Amino acid sequence: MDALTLGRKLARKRQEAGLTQADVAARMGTTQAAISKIESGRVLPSCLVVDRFARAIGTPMEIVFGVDPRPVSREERRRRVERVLGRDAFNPWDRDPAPVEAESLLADGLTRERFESQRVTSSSRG
Amino acid sequence: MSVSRARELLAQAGVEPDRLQRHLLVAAALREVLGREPIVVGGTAEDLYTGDVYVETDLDLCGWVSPEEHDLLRSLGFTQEGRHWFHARSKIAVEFPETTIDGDEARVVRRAVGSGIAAVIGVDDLYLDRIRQATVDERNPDSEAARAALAVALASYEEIDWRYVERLIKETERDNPPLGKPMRTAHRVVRRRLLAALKR
Repeated sequence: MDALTLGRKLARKRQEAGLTQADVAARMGTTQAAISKIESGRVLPSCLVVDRFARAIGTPMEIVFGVDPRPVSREERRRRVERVLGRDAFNPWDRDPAPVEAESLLADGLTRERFESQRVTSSSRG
Repeated sequence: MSVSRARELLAQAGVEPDRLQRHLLVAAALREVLGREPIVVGGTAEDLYTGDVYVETDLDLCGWVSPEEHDLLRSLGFTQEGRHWFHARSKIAVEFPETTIDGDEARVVRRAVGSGIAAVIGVDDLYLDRIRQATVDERNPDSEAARAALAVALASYEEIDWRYVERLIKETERDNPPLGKPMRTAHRVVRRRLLAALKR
């Protein structure tokens, strides 16, 4: 398990308990900044710290080690990116493709017009 | 490693409808015949780790084609067009921008594709590469490099070894401050957006 995944799990449990980072920090005798570092994966907490965290939010917590994370599908990856950056966030024609690169793009129907029209649609929506 | 396997993989690439898969098949074919293992970097690696949102224009490979291998590539259907080797049947343009990857070779991932294997830069090193590129305009979260780094982070955050990323940036700050400091800034900008997105 990586620090970010663990941090997200702790953050979710805290939110479910209806507590702020400052609440948990006060109960643990630490600072809100320390909790923020743990929840954002910048610090990997020890088992003892996770135990104190669970006690602070008043909920027992199960963490399973030695299990590979669920493989992320291509569709899921795409969805995650599009949710934040929108569709067709990258226009290959902005990179001034060489003639063979242009031929390659056109062979797959990735025309300049397709990306330009998407851009127009996005800006008119915004 | 064999020429006949390379031909087989290129034939598969010639009829493969999926663009990303076609790029990987060509990479796997070249792996069969080149003396130095070519490693997929750049846009194709970005597409692999982001679910195909980047839309690369060519296949960037770290590696080296020796003068003796030029005839071999031509016999496989590649033609030299400027900085590219173009495979007309699969419509894939291949470029060798660097001989070695800027990163940890032990993190290179080998993926089965068709009847071959393609070697791809590790996701952590791809993220660092995008952050390095974002240093041209490190405070701009909307530069293409910053958005590319964010796309990798969003799509693959569980797989990125963030401690390795932090360590590499820290080492660059120490050894090469003119690069390391803007890398730190660009990473901070991208990471802030990643965490904001994960909170939603």
